[in-house]
This record gives sequence, structure tokens and C-alpha cells, in this order.
Amino acid sequence: MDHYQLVAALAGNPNVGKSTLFNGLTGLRQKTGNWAGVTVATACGTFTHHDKTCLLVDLPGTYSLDTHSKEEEVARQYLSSGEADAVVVVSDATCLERGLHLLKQILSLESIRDRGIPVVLCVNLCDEARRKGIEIDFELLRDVLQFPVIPCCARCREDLLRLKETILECEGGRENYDCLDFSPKELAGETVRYTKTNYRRREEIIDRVVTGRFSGGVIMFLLLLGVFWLTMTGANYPSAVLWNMFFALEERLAAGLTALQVPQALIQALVYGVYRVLAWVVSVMLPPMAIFFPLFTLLEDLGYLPRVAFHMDRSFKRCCACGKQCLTMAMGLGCNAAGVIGCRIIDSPRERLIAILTNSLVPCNGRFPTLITLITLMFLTGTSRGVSGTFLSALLLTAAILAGVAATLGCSWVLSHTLLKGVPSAFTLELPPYRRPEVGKVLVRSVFDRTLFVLGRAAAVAAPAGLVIWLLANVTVGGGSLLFHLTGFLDPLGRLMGLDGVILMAFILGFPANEIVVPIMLMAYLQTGCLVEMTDPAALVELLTANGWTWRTALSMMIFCLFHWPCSTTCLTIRKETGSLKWTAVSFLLPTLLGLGLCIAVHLLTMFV
Amino acid sequence: MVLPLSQIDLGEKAKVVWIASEAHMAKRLADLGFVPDEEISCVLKGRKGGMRAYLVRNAVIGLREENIGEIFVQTDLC
Repeated sequence: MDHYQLVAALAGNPNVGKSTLFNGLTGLRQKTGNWAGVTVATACGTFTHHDKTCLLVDLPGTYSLDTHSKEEEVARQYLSSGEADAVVVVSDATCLERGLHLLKQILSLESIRDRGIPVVLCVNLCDEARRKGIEIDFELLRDVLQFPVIPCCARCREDLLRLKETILECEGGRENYDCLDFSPKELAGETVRYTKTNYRRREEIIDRVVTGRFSGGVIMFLLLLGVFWLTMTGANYPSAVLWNMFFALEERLAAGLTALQVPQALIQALVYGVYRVLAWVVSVMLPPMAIFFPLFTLLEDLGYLPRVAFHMDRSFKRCCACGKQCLTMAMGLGCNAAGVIGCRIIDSPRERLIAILTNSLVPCNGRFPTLITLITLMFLTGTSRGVSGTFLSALLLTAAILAGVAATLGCSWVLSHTLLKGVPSAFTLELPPYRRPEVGKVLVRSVFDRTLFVLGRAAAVAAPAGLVIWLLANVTVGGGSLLFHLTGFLDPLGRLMGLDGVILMAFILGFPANEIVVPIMLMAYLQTGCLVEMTDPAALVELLTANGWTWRTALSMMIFCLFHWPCSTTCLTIRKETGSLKWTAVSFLLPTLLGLGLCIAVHLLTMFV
Repeated sequence: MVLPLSQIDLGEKAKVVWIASEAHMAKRLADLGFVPDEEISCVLKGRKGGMRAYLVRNAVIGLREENIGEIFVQTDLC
């Protein structure tokens, strides 16, 4: 597939729909979101039209080509490298002037001007501009610029087709830009006409409410609560159905293998070890993720997250951190590794490091099932079936997330007063217009890209982990299983934290993926080495109480689940992003020590209750 | 009359006169449209001590209090 006639680069301001355009043209699924800085590294894809193939490179969005930030440097370097045979400058129809400023800078790049690389101006989001009563005189724009200007809305197929044709027509072309001179401000002034004077009115009112003194916080809390409530209510039923299905399949699987005369020990290991952990992970994780991710993506596409960052900035400023850390924190809710990569949107190296180190204090989606299970099992056994029960669980889960946010702020403060001393640096935060999310696309994208990806990773880890735990539980050395020795060794520390050796060991074995902590723990409790059935909460509670559980154990485990080492993927990502083992170690120790300390403190305090 | 942008009220318009920020921030602001003669208006005032947002070149940009004080504007636009 390395055969293409043309290399075209997509450049433009942040959040003008470059990635959507890129996806529309190439059919790839590059992540998009409604805030500035989603594309942090370049992405490549190809499209073919009339037997010609074009390699399209999606550059990170920049306001200019100065080498002030990482994205700008990436974009500038690529455009200067001369690799691109054509440049498509994508501009937002609602703020054309800003796009023209960038266009002018690109045209004055030596590698573009001297080599006469063809440039196409694509004015995107024309539908949005039309709704806002903004009219653009494209004829005039073409007359002045003397190169193709394509009005476009990234969701419209004909527009994409025309853009494809125009890009491919650039092949081999050489332009002369010597006579081209324009003032972006004047050109925009001449070509753009506003027919509605108060088109921003509605948005302003919404913004005032969303970022208001009291209403801002209340809305944030209610949205978080609503998302969790929907996730938990919606996930209950499919989870049970999936589990029953897997369980029914399990017996048949075992019977089938016995019929094939497979050795009993192997059947035990495969079916009751590997298969059961896998079944647990899938049935417990899939439904909440399939609900949470689309809901969260909807909020993201709507443009709500930058408003949260705007509202929360005051708190981050007090901790000498960057307000954009709020965005990376929100990304961490989905997956901490993604959140760590997202920290590239923060310019100041000091603040970026703070954001990376504190990212895993917000529970990722892999830890939600553990938190949810703990909440339903220990606090709400009686009421968990009813509507009020799920509401209460959602409330507790929201409280857990808020605890994570509080810890993020606290640790940021501590870091910026100890290891990473410094004053808050200046930054700008763009508040993009609210955009109506495309519900269908959001569903498809979040289910396939995020849910299945995360689930696949979890399953890949869960299968071998299931085998390991089965082996640990079934291989005996000196009168006890390996598991017995191991948990016995960890028990004193576990007890001190209000947990026990088994839970601690489950967390350690769960290092590759947090999702498997609970199944490992349950398997260890049932020393037979098999995972327990989860359809009946009462049976589970019985098992846990038999192992000395109280509500305090559940509380301690929730705290430790919130604050412990980041998973292996996140650690590797941190190592890659910071390029330093020292900071990776800090990011490992920081949440771990916090969790240890909190658990011990809570345990000692509740002893006297 | 020239005053710092921080004294511009919600909904008021003003014209940028000069930027007193340090070089890096000044460049960033210039990229966004905070350059002399550009007309901007305050569209959002958050909590006290929090960020405020300004409409510049038809985009809404949030800034921190300290940086807002470094931008000087003129209110009599004629």
C-alpha cells in the first residue's frame, strides 16, 4: 500500500475540523473532539480517487508556525521538510481571519514559496457559518488568492469529493506566489458579511450559566452524576445476561473438552482459570464501557469540557498548575495512558510534568467496574436492585471521582511546592462554539475505537493472568499452595491498611490491567482456584464476610483502588512521554504512597468507631 | 483613554493598544488576535479570580486574570 502519487498535508488552526475532514477523506478513525489540541502527533492515511492515490498527513492544529509549542514545531518542521507535494490549509468559516493569518505564514515559508508547492484553501464548517448568518464571498477570495478555495462541510459527501479532486489536481503542479500579497484582516473584512448581529447571544447565555459562580459547579456535578447513573442502571441487566451466557457456555466447554479426552488438569486450568477470568472481565466491563464511552464522547463533542477547564482554572491556578490539566484529567477518566499522552497540550514543561504525574489519581474506566462492584456489594446489598439503589451507587461513584479530583489538586499543589517548584505560567484557552454531536457516529466510534480497544487489551491480559492465578492456587509447595504462601507474606501489610494479603496480591497481579483485580481476589478467596459466580450478590457477600470483610474493608479497598500504582501501559506511556526513569518512578510512587497512607490512616481512625 | 483589559466589563467592546506580557505570551496572544488596533469584547466573566473570556477575531479565548492585566485597551472607539 506504499504506492501513492501525491503527498498532501492538512494544516490549519486548532479545532477547525481537520481531523473530521481527515477521517472523511481517508475513512480512518482518527480521534476527534471539540477542543483545541486533540491531534498531538501527525496521523497519516490514504485515499484513492479515479485510480490515483494520495497520502494525507494530518498535522496538529496551530495558530501560527512559530516554534513556541510542540505542535507548532511539528507542523513547521513537516511543512519545511518539503515532503508534501501539496498543502491543504483548513480554515473555520466562522473565524476566517485567523485561518488567513496562518495561510499567509504558510505561503511565506521558504520551502513552500520557493518550490511553488500548490496550496488549497478549504473553508470548513460552512454549515455552521450559515446557521450563524455568516456569508463568505468565495469568488472574491479566489480572485485575490489565485488558487483553489473550497467551501466545505466535513459531513457532506459532495464537498469531500470535490476536495479530493482538487487535491489530486495539484499533482506535479508548481505555483508562483511572488505576486500574491494580501492582508488577512482586510481580506476577511471584505469577504465576510455578518447577517445576524446577535448570533452569539444564545451561546453566551449558556456559557454564563455553565461557568457561573454556583451554577457551574452544580451543573458539573449533576452531569457527572447523570452519566454514572445512566451507566450503572443501564449496565446491570446486560451484565447479568452476559454472565449467564458465558456460564452456560462454560459447562459445555468443559464437557466438550472432556469428551475430547483432554487431561483433567488442563481442562481445569483452561476453563476454570483462563475462561472464567475472561468471562468475568467481558461481562462486567463491556456493558458499563459501552454506555459510559458514548455518553462521555457526546459531552466531548458538544464542547463542554473546555468550559469545565475554564470554570476549574481558579483551583488549578492556586495549585500552580495549568487549567488545561482539567482536560487531561477528563481524558484520564477514559484511560490514564490516553490522558498522559494528552498532556502534550500543556506548553509549560513543569506544568506538563505535574499533569502527567497526577493523571492516574483519577480512576480510569478499567477501575470503574471494581469501584462499582465494591459499592454495590458492601454498601447497598439490600437495595441494589431498585432505582434508588443505583442512584445511591452513582452518588458514591461520583464522590469517588471527586475524591480523585481533590487528590489531583492536592498532589499538584504539593508537587509545585516541592519537586517541581515554580509559578503558574501563562496560557490561553479557546472556548469553541457548541457543536451538535453526530449521535450515530459517536456511537460507532466510541464502541469500536474505545470500548473494543480497551476491552481487547483487558482480555489479552486477563487470559494469562487467569492461568497464573490458577497455577498459583493449585501448585502446592510445603503443605500449602503458592497463593497461600504469597498472601500470607503480604497479609501483615494488608491488615495494617484495613485490607488483607489477598486483596493486596490481587492489586499486584492486576498491574497489567486494573480490570482483573476483583476476579483475581475472588479466585484467591475460593482457594479451590475457581472464579465464583457473580449473578447472586448475596452469595458473594457471604463469601466476603466469611473472609473477614466489613464495610471498612470495602472502604479501604475503594481508596486503594483509587490511589495505587498506574497500570503497566500507563507506566510505559509515562516513560515514553517524560523520557526519564526518575519521573516514571515518581509517578509510580506518588499515588501508591498516597493510597498506602490514606488506607492506614482510615484503618487506624475507624478502629475506634 | 487607555486602561488595562481587566477593567472592561462584560459585554463592553475595546480596542487593543499594547501588550505588556512577556515575549512568549505576547507572541501567543498576537497569534490569537490580541494585536494593536484589534477590536475585542468581554463575553464571559467567571468566578472572582478565575478566568475571563474575550471575543477576538470571532473566537472566544479564555485568559487568566494576571494576563488580562497585561493587555492595555482603549474604550472610546471612534
